[in-house]
Amino acid sequence: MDSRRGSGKADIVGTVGSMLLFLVFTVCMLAIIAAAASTYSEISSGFDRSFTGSASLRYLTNKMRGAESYEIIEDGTGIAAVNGGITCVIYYSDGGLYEKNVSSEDKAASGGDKIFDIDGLKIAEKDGLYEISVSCGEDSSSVFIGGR
Amino acid sequence: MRKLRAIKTVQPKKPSNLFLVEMIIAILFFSISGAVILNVFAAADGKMRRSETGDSAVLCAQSCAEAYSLKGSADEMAEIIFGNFEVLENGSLSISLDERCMPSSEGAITLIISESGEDSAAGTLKTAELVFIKNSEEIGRFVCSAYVPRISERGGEA
Amino acid sequence: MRGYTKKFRSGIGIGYVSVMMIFAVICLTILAVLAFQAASSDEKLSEKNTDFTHEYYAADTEAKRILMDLDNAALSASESPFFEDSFTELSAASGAMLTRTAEGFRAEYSVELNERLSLFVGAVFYKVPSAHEGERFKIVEWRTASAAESVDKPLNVWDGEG
Repeated sequence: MDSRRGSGKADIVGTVGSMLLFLVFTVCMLAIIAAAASTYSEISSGFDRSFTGSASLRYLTNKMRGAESYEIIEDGTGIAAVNGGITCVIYYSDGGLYEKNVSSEDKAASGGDKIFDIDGLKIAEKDGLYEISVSCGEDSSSVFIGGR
Repeated sequence: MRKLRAIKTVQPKKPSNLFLVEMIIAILFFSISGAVILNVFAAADGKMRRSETGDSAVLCAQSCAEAYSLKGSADEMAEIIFGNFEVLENGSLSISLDERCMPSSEGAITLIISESGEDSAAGTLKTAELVFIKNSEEIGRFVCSAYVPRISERGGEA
Repeated sequence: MRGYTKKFRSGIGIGYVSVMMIFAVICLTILAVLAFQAASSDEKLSEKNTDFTHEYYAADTEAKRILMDLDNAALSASESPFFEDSFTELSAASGAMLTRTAEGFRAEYSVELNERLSLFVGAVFYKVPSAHEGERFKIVEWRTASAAESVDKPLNVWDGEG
């Protein structure tokens, strides 16, 4: 009788121990999956941020390099690049970089199509160079380009 | 009379034993897989950081190249882009940058700028080599140039 | 009846742990592969940008070398009595297309950047540098364009008027 009772207690302890181990295993597993998901989210958003920032800077500089002439408009938040009679107006407005191509002298910063989601654009002249700064969230990137 | 055969009962193995064995094997397998997957995450993170640094270095090199093309002098170029710089014994310039290639007093990246020139009667074609170094490892090398014409004395200002 | 023991079940059945473990490993593997893929894409993009920058500034350096050759030709030509003939002869090696203007010559040339793009350069070389503060040339065009565009443009033939 005692041995049966003893073995019963051992069974309970064993069962509780197994369940505790299972619980610990489950919690660890869920924590690791959560950590992996947050790491992926960080990598993905970091990729988006750096891609948008540097891609928009490269787009602007390539447009300026391919233009016959360009000028800064809208107090440094846009450029108008002229090439082959077509004026390409790229400007920042309402959380994005917009672009439009016009055949006239119209350099108004409106009516364009959104090409990038950015938080700010600033173009300033410095010692004969133009400094272009683009900000996305907390990050900002800048590049200098020679004046034309 | 039929003899009742003694029924020898075999105590079934306790299911909790099997469960424990299964748990142990599962934990073992999960640990090994987890270690491999963590390595993959670490590699992905390393790649991201390297490509971000590379991108920043390219933008910085582009700025330097444009400034050098305009000014024709590495000193003036460094002055405009970085503000301050250090001149090494061999005449090269050394600039300390952070991970985003912005000027920083205790940066992880060092930019070494060395200049050379090709003289001719009409002017000099100057070439600047920009080398980005991080942890004694070269992460980028760019070459840019500037043509500095000699103004004719007969034409006016020398 | 002897030896009959009551079966004592554990709280959790056999197999659940294995299923959960397989599920977790699959989730982690998918996340790891996606993260690695994103990082690889970013790295490839970064490499392409670096390559383009190298190509652009290599073409830029070559264009400046040709400009130096033309400048040397202009310097030599300015010392000879016949600027036009002398400049045309001396600049032939550079491959630039020359167009006469009132001030001297407009030289145009292109340097291949990559398969799709070229760097187009245009500069005006003055016959009389002293009339332009001693400068022998002025760059009027320095831009990238599709390689399909050629330097052949309709000639602006000088009609003798200012």
